[in-house]
Amino acid sequence: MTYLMAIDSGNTRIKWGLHDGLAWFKQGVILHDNRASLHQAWQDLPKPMHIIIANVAGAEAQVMLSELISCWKLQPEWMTATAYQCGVRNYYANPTLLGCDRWAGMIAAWKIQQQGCLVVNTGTAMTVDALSDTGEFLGGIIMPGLNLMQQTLTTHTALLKQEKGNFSDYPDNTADAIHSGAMQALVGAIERMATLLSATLGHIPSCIISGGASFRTQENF
Amino acid sequence: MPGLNLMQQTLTTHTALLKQEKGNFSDYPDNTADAIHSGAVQALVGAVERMATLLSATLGHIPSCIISGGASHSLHSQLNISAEIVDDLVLQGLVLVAMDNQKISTPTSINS
Repeated sequence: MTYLMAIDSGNTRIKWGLHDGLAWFKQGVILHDNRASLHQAWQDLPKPMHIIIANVAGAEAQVMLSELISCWKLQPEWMTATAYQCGVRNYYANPTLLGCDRWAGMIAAWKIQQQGCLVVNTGTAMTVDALSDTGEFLGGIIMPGLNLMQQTLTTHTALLKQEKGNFSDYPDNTADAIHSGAMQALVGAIERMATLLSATLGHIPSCIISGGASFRTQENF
Repeated sequence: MPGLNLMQQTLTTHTALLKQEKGNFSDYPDNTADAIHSGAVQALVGAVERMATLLSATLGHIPSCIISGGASHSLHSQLNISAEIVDDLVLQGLVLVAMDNQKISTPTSINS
């Protein structure tokens, strides 16, 4: 069996999976702050043939990841976006400046859908990317994710405090107002992109959601 | 929710790779600066539209919408509902409260 190690190093969490060519052998998720414990999680795994990494967490994370995978004595592939890959065409003004995690997500979504769709990733940031029926990346938007959207209000305003709120149609207290506001903003942006893409494609696009806040976002469509 | 500027600023301070650059609105942004600016606009306009849909169902008729504040014009151009911009809405409210508290008779209009 030949194994392939895939690592998605986001702004907050590291998601990884060891793939045997047919299915996932093992997957895991860990916060960047706890990444040292990956050493233990990986020590009993079969040695991969190849390692591919999408790192958007910066140079420091790259150094830490390089150390963690050094046990396998392999040169990893630090994935970057390109102008074309696996049927998806990238018209970003400079193709390599497109976030490599967005690019990987769109390539997977195209493999699943094989037609125009919205690709949503809700992590520290939320991205909504549009694919055409012929696999062209039309463009996409970036905004703060569910937690960041709420956090930033408490750090940048004089009166608002960080409290746990719940979703409500008509919030009657500040904590619920902040939580519901973040949710309405994210869901509203997705719905607007869906309306736009519907008009562009001439049919209703499917929508794939991934990331830490996906289930809470989906409840409110 | 965060306003138009804060929504963009917070991304550059809380992510490793995104930088603060001036972006423009576009339906399908093809660069990061435009993607961040357009994302903030879509999020805010989307939230306003969702609340309008909700209130429509609650009232049984389409509500009018009054917009105030620094980003009014950026949002207004993208809104798919009719809305009126009133730049000094809070000041108008303050005048009404002061008149009420001072027992001064309220004018029929405070717009002019």
